[in-house]
Amino acid sequence: MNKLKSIARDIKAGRPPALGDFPPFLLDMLASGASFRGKFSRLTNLERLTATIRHKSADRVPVTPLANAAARQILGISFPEYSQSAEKAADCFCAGIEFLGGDMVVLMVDLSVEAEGFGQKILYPLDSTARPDYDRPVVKSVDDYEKIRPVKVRDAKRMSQFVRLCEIMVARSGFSTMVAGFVFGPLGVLSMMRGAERLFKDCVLYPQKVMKALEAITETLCEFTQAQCDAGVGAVAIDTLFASRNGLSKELWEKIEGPFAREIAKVIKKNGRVTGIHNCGHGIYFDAQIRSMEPELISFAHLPDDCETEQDLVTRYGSAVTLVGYVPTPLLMTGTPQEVMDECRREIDVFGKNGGFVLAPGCEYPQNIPLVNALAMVKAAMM
Amino acid sequence: MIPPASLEKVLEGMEGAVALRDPARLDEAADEALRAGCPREEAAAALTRGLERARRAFAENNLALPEFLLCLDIMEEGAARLSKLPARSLAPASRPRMVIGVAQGDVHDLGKNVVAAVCRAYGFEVTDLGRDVAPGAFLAAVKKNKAHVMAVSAMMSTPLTAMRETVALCRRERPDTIVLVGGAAVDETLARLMGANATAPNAGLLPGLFSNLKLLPAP
Repeated sequence: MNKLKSIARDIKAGRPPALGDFPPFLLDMLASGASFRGKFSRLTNLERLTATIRHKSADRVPVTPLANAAARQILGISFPEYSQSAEKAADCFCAGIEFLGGDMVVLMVDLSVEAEGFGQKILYPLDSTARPDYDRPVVKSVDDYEKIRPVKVRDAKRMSQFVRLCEIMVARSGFSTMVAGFVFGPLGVLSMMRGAERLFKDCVLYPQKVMKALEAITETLCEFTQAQCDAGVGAVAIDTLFASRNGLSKELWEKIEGPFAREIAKVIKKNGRVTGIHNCGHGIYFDAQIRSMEPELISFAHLPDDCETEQDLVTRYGSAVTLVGYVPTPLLMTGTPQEVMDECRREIDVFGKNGGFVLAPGCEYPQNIPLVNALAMVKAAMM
Repeated sequence: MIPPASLEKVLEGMEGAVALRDPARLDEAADEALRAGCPREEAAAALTRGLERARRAFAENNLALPEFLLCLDIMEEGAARLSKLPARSLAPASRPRMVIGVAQGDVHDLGKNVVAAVCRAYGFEVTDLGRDVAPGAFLAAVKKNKAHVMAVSAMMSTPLTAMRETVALCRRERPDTIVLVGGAAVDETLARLMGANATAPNAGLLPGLFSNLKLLPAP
């Protein structure tokens, strides 16, 4: 009954209801209906995504070009404005949707949004998105881990702005596009306050101290996630960057960050939102992350550690999650639009036969290059 | 002169300390090496053998990055402690020289630090320029150090323009310098288009790459 009320409330508020609020059989019926209708007519973005996430074929593969900061170019908005003003960032995201198209927008602004709330000094360069001042880390020694305390989202400038961004984007998108929030995983947030190299060594040498800090950070991230769900996003992506061969061993990740990532995923699921994972590392740990977060979507840039080929990936994980990816960044930077379209069509052929695939770059679209290859991606999905 | 059996034990200790990232084992072996006057070259070779074991495990995905970083730390600490040992020769005149740094606009130096440490361990004389390095600063350092290799790293996509400028500047002014590029957003195609000689997906593969480039003997 509560879920029915939630669905009614969302519709009344002019935004799509959370997919998790529907009983699975009803969601499957809706997805099957959309899939059938997609054989004869064009679906809406939300119908297409619903069918895809339930692993039913749609009228075409959904696409999201992730031209987030790159969309600043459309309006001439500066990096510092994009990073610090929810309204300016929303203008960029909306301009991106209008100019490029796409079925879903993922509100990934940069990776230092959360760390700012814990006192990390952030730099706002003119030629790049915001980043921590690594010369002034919050965690200067291993003894500083225990000094980290949970913070309230309302007291954190950048997280508050991000929640505001979610509210604006949900209001502006209405029923036309799925808006996905974004949370950097607790270990990633800690790396912004310690530096990845020192943090990696600390994870091996002082795991209990690191986990104490992660516990405090996770409490805040759960509140941050709840605030995004309250703002009405349809999905939230958790970025567990270090669950890959670029980060910790699988065993260590499952011990150090896995349990905390699970807590964040629980908040998303409790709110009926779609759980996504973003991880652009090499050899990412699909299995460990699925165990920890039970996601509906995984966005990836490289094959998982336990798959040697794309076909392995399809066989092993294609029915368990919806794959989001994985147009290579170097191709977007140096390829011609035709080359990008060829790669997109190839990926659609490999991954997109029966739903369960959203075409996207492996990571955010490069921020300072022309948008022509983002257009090529969207065009390839439309063909 | 150190008896052969003792020498063998010391060298095994050195090798194992690095391979197993064991500081206590390094303490024990280094103290014994200093007490017994173990030749520096043999002790250094033992450290390198230890790192080679770790490197192979890392390259084959049997050792994770944090553990490999700790192996590199032990290697560097061991090398520092061995500097007090007697050397048989003043050899390292022919060491290859490398200038390394993070491209302008990027401050992520984990990859650069790993590459620098691996290269030091394999005999390179490394000049580390740090993070956010302008193309002109790279070139000046290459000229000043008469570097055989210039290595440029970038994790994000935003500094790739600066990386490309750095490579082009070096190609124009110092065409004989071997240029390596690396980072999350770099692949072989991009490296080639930039005019670099090579890239490697992880630092564990560098010795093989350097032997292909005739900078090091085959690993």
